[in-house]
Amino acid sequence: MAKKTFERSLQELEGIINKLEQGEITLDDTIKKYKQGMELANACANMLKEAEQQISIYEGNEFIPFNGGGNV
Amino acid sequence: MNKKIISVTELNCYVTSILDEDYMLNSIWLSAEISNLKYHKSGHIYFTLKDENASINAVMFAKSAATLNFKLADGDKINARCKISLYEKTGAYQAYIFEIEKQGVGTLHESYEALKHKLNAQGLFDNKKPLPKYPQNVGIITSNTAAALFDILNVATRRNKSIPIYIYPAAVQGEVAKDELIQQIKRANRDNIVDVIILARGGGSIEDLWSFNSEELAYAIYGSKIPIISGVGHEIDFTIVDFACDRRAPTPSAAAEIVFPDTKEIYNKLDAYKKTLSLLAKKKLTTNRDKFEYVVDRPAFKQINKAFEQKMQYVDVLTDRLQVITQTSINNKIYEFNILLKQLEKLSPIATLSRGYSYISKDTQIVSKLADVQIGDDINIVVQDGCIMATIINKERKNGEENI
Repeated sequence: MAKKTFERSLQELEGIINKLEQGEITLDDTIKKYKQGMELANACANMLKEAEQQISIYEGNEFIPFNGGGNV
Repeated sequence: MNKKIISVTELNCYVTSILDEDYMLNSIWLSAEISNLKYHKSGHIYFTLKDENASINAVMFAKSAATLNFKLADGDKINARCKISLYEKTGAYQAYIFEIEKQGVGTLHESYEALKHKLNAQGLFDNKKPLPKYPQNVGIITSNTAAALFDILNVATRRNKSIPIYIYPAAVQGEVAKDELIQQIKRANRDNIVDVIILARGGGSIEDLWSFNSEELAYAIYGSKIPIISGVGHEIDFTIVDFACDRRAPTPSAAAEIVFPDTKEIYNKLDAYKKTLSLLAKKKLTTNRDKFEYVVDRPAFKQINKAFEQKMQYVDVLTDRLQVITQTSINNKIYEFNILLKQLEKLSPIATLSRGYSYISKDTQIVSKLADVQIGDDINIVVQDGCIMATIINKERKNGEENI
């Protein structure tokens, strides 16, 4: 998948914060990193937005939606 | 003496009550050999327990039979925990079996300890794979009717709805359990959809959990590329699976708590990160501005500034001076030029002509001596506004000397 995983994005965000905390970058880079970090934080938050959990069950050689045991 | 007459039913009922009241007969371990074994399709198992001299009918009902982790066979020497009661229909007293151990294999606990020791020595409990902190897809291997499954789903839905769940159903007790569990672990690895597996089962007796004490299952877990967390039984229950898994949770719900990161916590974390980002960026800006102001305020910088201003002023002065000098020098040159021009004009024959003089030329040569011309030559007399053509008719030397 081309989509960045949640974990990767979060790690990247943490890396940016670490870099900013060390403070040894230019003002220009600081602003760049700040923007990048904010975008990552928002992207992470968006990845968590799901109204309903997708639950599938393996049945008869394939995954079908699980409807609370009614499949049995 | 009055005869007290009772029915057979009443008798059997009475005998049953006497047997049931007996504390010892309610739970007793019998050492015996199995014979007349019959697996009924209802799930109940009927057989006779015997030794050299005696025998008793026995029944193991389906519920208890399901906990058997091996198949009974005629001639098996076993220890059976049972209660003794009456089968009122025939008046035969019989053993109602709860659990069976094979003799010679030792107790379940002993074999559990032996297996644990063996697998540990083989390194099966080493090489723990880390669980993903934020799994993308979660697999659950358990019975699709078990409370354990619904416990896990409840926790998942409460904590994090964004993670898709894949259920690999498997029996979690009885003879087929071990093979089904192994099959689903292998299937999940083949599918390679999930990045963590919860292997779960609700609480039960050591017999109920016996499928989770299998050597083959331990090897399947060890061979799984996908990390597996166990949530088997209650907190106090330990199985071989718990040791073989990459992590052990005390219960199915606890396993779900570990696997599913709480969305609320992540949101809080992200908010905190955003605040930190803003704070750090602001700090950098403030630091830079302070630094700038600090430098600007420092006497050294002020001196530099002053020196700079003074130099600027000096440059202005110089510029002005340069302008003055340049202008003066130009003016001087113009003046000198005019003087020269005037001198030049004085030298020019044209100017002389303008004063009434003229000059004579012959074939573009200036005539200045008598010898320059011969009588009869054509000459040009140049005057101020033109040229007069003439012919030499005579020549006369100064002081009345002779003609040449």
